[in-house]
Amino acid sequence: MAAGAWRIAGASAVGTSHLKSGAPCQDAFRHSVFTSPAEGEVVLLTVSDGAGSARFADVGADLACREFAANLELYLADGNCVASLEAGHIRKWLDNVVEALAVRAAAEEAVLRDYACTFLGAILSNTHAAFVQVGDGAIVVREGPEDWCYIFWPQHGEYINTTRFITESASLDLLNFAVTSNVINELAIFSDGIEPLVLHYATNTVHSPFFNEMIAPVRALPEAGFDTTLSQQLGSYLSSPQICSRTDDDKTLLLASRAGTA
Amino acid sequence: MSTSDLEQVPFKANDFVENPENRCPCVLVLDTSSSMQGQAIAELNEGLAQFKRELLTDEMASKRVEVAVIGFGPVRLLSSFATPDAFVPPTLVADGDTPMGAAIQQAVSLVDQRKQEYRQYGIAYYRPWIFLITDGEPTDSYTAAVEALRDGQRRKHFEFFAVGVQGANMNVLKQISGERAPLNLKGLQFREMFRWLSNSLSAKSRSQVLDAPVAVENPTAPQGWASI
Repeated sequence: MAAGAWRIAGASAVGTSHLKSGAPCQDAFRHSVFTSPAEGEVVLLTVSDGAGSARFADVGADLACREFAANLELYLADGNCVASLEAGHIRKWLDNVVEALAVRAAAEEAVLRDYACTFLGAILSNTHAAFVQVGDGAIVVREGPEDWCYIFWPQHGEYINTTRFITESASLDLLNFAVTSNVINELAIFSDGIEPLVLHYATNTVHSPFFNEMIAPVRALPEAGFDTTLSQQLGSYLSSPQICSRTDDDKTLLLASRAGTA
Repeated sequence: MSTSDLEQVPFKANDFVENPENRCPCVLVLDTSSSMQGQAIAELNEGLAQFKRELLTDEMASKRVEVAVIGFGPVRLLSSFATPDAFVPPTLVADGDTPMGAAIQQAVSLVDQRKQEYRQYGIAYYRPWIFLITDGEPTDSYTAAVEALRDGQRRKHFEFFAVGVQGANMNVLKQISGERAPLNLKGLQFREMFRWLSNSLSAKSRSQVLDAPVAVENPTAPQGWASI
């Protein structure tokens, strides 16, 4: 069965602790659709969470998503496939991302640490999927009719409110990468602000009912591509009291489905 | 056979099974030496009871904050780590000298032990707080305690707060505290202090933001319960 085209919705919402301190939302997300000469449509979904303690974390997170996309675009334009991606490619691209952050830091008389952010990415072709993770948050995919699984468990430090950032070279050495030929038709990527709602830390499992509910309207979208209206509604939901009572952090949720009938 | 043996229930699900929420542990290290006798110990007891009530009013804190109490004069573990619903505030009795050094060391090892239990049961947790209240100065040797606090703070094993009640030797307390200066309690405003502590722990227990200013209000503001 040929997969349909991807339907996508995503939103970030500022955390209550940031509202209190007047800090901006330091999460960023991005979706890009490339047409690869080798394998047709390739979709990239990324989420980056800027460190709360970093001065320009919002800029860092946004730049990380953009720069990573630019690297993938070049790779595909050269006729390469998602299937042949290796950890070495990703490491090189993240090194390029960090270099771009360092250039930005130099221009702003800041230091690299001021742009600290995590990175989550999913690269999806018609036959393969590749996943990248540095830091917390997670990528989850639907595996059964109603079962969702995580790709990598969030990288937390000893304490639940600590993590790793791409701006630390030791963290890049610990980057998670996987490529699979399993057919993936639905997935979600989220920053750590969403974690307490959807992950069971004690059992390392995903709370599937949440994702089954969230993906349904995305799956039902009549048009392929990123839906602005649904994304705004998602943004309102992420800012609602029932979410904010569980976490004070910025939250980002990016949802994608090609399981619809269209 | 002791009473606690008789009260042991053979079949009881572990607390972590019933409540797998992240934990935010706090050890209260309380001076119960004879100098606290009278109004001071009465106000402290009232403050402790109120602490429990306030934590219970916050839905997240009531599942995530864990309180343990160590009294010193002599050193006793008066209450093991418990979430607010299960926490029974001990009735403090002022008696004896001020073995603050030994009490601090016990608090440090209590925190280490609790972290091991969290890890064993896969419970995520926040950096523990150790909160010391005294109206005097150590009557035992506190060199090892100072060393344990320095080491633990440097390695981010916990955060340490010290509060001096009138009569406390603030110079010694400063020496012990290290990076965070001790606070002077205004009068016997234990209730105001515990309200602040409850608010701070509630904010921390839902925080995913590292080093966020979790203290909801400055305790040393004019209306606050402390001075520097």
